[in-house]
Amino acid sequence: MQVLLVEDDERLAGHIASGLRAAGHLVEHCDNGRDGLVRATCERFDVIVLDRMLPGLDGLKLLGALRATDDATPVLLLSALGDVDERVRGLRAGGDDYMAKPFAMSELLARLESLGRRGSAPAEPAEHLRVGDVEIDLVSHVVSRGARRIPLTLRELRIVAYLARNAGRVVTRSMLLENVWNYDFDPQTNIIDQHISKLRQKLTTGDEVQVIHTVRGVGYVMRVE
Amino acid sequence: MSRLFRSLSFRLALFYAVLLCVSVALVAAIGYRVWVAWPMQEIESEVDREADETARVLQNEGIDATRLVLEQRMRSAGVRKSFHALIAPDGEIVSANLPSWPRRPSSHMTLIEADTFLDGFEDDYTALVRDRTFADGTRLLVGRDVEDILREDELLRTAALWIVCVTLVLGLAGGWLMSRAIGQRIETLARTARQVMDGDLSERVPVRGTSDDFDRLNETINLMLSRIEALFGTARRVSENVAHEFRTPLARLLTRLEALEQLEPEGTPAREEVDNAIAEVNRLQRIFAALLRISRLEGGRHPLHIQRCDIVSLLEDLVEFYQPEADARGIELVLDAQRPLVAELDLDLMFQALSNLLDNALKYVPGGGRIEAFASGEGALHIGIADNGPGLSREEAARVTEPFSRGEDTAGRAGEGLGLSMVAAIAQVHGARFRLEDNRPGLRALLIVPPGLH
Repeated sequence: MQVLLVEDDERLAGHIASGLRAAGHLVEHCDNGRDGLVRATCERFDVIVLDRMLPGLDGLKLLGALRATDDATPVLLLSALGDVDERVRGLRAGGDDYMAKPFAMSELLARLESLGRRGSAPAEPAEHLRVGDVEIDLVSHVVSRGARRIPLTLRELRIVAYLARNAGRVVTRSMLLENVWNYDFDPQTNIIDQHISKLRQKLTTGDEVQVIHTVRGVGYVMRVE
Repeated sequence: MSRLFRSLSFRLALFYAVLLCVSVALVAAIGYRVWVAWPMQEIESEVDREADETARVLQNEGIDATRLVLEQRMRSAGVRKSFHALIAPDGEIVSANLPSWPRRPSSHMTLIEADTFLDGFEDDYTALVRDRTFADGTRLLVGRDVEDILREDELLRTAALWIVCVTLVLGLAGGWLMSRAIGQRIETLARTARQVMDGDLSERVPVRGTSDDFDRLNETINLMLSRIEALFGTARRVSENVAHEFRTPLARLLTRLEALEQLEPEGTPAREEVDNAIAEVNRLQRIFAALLRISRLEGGRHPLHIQRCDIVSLLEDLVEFYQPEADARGIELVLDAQRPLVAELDLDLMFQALSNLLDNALKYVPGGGRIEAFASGEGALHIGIADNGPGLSREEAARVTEPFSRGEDTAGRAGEGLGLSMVAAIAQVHGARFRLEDNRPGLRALLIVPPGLH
């Protein structure tokens, strides 16, 4: 993916850039808002990583200017302001995702992958998802594996649907929390893991292959190996 | 009523009223001595002297001479009208101008009513009489009028009684009014103090501008509050800035550790150490995020998104979210709320608060225990988490909402000691009260959200 990184902190930008490059992405870096806007409008990127507070032009203003030109490139906002209402403001201004500093590189990568895919294939609400032999019908709320129908709660259905939409890509715990539970909150313990393990038990019985895999220290990925 | 008696100003007013009554009684007593007791004594000795003289005449010169003396005395004009009665041993009245006298003679001076009718006019007289019976059976009564002194006596008594009554009534009424006036000023002061205690440091005592004692006191208290508010603001800004300024360096630290993690193959001791360090950085980051959030909530800089919420579905989502954890720990997690139950509040914040409370309960309640997410209320909404775990002592309950303080038995239990501080802050922005009560046994963490919020 081609990534534009707009971040004024040199050292942090260096680390992010090297992390992205190590994951196989092409990274262009700007250290101020004005240059960032010029490059974002002149060139095509798959995804933009934008710091919330920048010298020259504030991150949110840059985002506003970019969206005003009908540019729909996915934007991930980075901010030292981690509060919930900052997040809401960032998303309202046209951001596609929001992360508070400090963050784990793996989390950033997971979110960027999810965003980049959205950018390349315009999201049309799928009615039917399929990962290996697991089929999810989002209209009738039926999940089945081969001939076996799997009874799931509504929440479990949403978890498995979110994982399936991002099949093959890592989904972090906070991504799950933001997208499956409609509350902006910060649970103090890792309850998500227990929801996943329950879901796994239902999805996989006997000698069926596991479809939800744990990526240690990062999150989960749904795929058939 | 007992509240009135406990009021200092009322008791003071009552004390002054009683003091005034005592002084009135004292003045009345002196008046009685001067205008009643002393003149009475004088007349008594005068009557005694006359009675002695007449007795001497009776013994030396006989009953007829006595009658003449008495009749002469009756006719002679004196300051006080004189009265007498002379009764022979056989019961015959020899001479008398007293209308009546007691059947049995008395050894004391007696007062006998002796009103006279002259030309159709009634004159009121009361005679002070010495009554003597001699050896031969002759009875002699000699007396003088004391009507004027008796009137003085009555006047004094009536006046004293009225003054005492009026003083007491005025004292009680004045005391009540005074205690009410002062009580109102004190109540405004106490109300402000309570609001400040509830966390609203910007509250001030109203000042009337009359520069009276209370105004001066209130101004001093307001200055004190301003000072406290300024100190609080500084402390809050410092902690907020610290949390804020630490974020970017922490982000760098995390990326470096991750770079290091990539260099080490999995399973080596170095890799394990790096993973531990990453976990610590993440913990720090959570603490800072929570601190910032609490400080923004307390400082009123977190915009509320108040909306009408279905409380039961909020609790259902909460219970559903924590159900796997409760199952894993062998704890029964139940919901106690009935539809319809709606309230206006910030859904995300309320969910966060309840999630912190439930999280705590799950940490402290042993396996086999029971946790209840409850909500009820018409008017004020009572919502919270109750458990049958070890609970909190009264001292602990007062302390645990402070940042970084935890219950005593915290060995080996995860958490940063900020969960309940955040609940308290969320309660505060909702104008709600956060209470930790004894659930007998266990803990009942309760938020009381007032109706018609904002």
